[in-house]
Amino acid sequence: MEMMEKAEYITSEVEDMVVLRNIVKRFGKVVASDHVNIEIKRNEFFSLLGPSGSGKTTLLRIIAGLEKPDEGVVILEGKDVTNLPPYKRNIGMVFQHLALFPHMTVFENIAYGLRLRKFPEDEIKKRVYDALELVKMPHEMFAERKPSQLSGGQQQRVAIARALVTQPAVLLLDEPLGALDLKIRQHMMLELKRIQRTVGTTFVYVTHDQGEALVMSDRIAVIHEGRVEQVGTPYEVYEKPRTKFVANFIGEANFFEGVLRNGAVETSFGVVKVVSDIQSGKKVVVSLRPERIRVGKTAEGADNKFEGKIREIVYKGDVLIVMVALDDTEVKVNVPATHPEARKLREGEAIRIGWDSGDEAGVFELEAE
Amino acid sequence: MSWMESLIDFVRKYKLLVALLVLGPPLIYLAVYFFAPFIITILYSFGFIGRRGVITWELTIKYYQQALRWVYLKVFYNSVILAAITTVGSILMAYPVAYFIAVKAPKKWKNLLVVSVMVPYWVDFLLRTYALMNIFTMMKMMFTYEAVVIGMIYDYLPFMVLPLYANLEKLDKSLLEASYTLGASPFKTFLKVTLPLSKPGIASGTILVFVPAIGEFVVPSMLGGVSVTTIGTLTWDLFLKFHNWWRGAALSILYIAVVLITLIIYMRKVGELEI
Repeated sequence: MEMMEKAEYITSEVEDMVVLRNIVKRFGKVVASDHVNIEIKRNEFFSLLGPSGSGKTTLLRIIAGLEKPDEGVVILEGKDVTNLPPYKRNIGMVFQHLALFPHMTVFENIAYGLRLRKFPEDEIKKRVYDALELVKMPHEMFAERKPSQLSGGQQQRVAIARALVTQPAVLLLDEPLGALDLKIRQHMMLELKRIQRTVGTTFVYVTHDQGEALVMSDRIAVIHEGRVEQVGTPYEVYEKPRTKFVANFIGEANFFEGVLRNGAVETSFGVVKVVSDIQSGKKVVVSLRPERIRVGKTAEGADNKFEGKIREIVYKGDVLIVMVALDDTEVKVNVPATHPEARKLREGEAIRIGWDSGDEAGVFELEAE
Repeated sequence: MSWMESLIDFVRKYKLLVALLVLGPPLIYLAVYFFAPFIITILYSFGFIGRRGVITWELTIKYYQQALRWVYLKVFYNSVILAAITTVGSILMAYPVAYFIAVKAPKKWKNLLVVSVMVPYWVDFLLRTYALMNIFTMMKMMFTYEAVVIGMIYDYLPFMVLPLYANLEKLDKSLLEASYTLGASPFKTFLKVTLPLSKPGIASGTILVFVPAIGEFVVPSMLGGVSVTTIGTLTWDLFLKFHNWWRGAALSILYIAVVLITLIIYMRKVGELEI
């Protein structure tokens, strides 16, 4: 019976490059992967996003074959590879600390996988040069250098070239931008996206940085405590988070708790109108993005209007972050610097804020404790 | 001002004096007990010192000419070969041990395993060699070349294990994983990544084993008897059996020169390997 089910997966999911079925992985008492199901499509830029310790890297290592799942099946290009070692899987991987071979030149690093596959020497040369060109590193300048003679960003590019040169079915990236400083990181984000578009390889990208995930991904899986909280496009996970964790982890959000009655939530500072199909009478939490809240004149005509007091203003150039006190609840509001009333806001003064009932990022049922 | 501050002030003011105070005792120690015997050996080798330590005010190279006789050169050659066998043998024995402790063993066991490699060497060297004699006698192997080789490898093994362990301990495991994901089996990974990266460890282990092994005389004389002659046993015999200190001194100086030259060439080669 189990065999038949397996066979069925294999025929029905060839379109999916990577499939994780019911993956369970434990390290001692810690459950790193808790019945994870993910399907990653051909040519997709797919991110595994979660805080550190959420189990996202474990999932990547399970796809690579560097960890063996305790339960579940890993399917690569329609083939069950659960019991195959990494060197028999058609994958490429870029490691967190890049793991370039320090005793080899850039050329030899990139040629490594090709030599193992016994390519003829002229083919190796051609492919290595093409790979270097893909990552915009002129081979005349860089091919004979050692990794220690390269900058962080250049090492990054070599690591990507090395992993892509064998034309793997899927490229696995484990927080490869973590060690770079901000400017190079932002640049490399766009570079990675360009490289992915050029080669069309499926990318699986592990990151704890929601900004990176939103910018680069076609789809994102949000991982929390070994479980998949939500899988969706950047737009979906940002605008339509399915759980409170996702709403909180991706972007910023204000949370109001209360009891849902007749399309409104009774909170400690007043009644908040919401759009939700949760049953009346349940305890819920409403999440609201700071940029959704309007202030001053623009707040007029909103479904939900409240008077508050400005507790603090933080100037960030393009936006003002205004902390507004509604009774004992503090609400974070992002006011664009271009807002006509932005310059008139003063700490300690009263402010009117408002938003429409359709604007909330989500209404989530509070789990019974 | 506390005494501490005045001390610091004193040190700042009289830098040279303080340096002499600190460096003085070790320098005197080295001069008297390290350099002086060495110079005396050199003086003996040139015949500058005669019988009963009388200074002859003569310089001659005849002892060097004697020491360069064909029989002695052959002993030199034998010693180098024995040292080379010892070095290769200890690399082959030490590598798996060091690799296992550094790469495979669980972290909490590592220190214990390293110590357990060392424990037998807390027993005195002579006692251990006597113990080996018992085993070789039982195996009817006493006074054979094989016995000397086994005894040499046994005595020098930790000097190979420790530098190799220190090197392999630093090996970044993600390099091995990167190699796997690029399609290399664990065996290929060992040949192409682990082994080349452990060359500095092999190099320092080789220096620690090879150099003293050339001059070794206790193991060859105890386990090999008259069947194995090395530069060490020969020097020993010249000094203590034949009381020919001059030729013995010349032989020692030649030995030092050969080792020094070999070492310089070797270090140059290793320097090229260094990453």
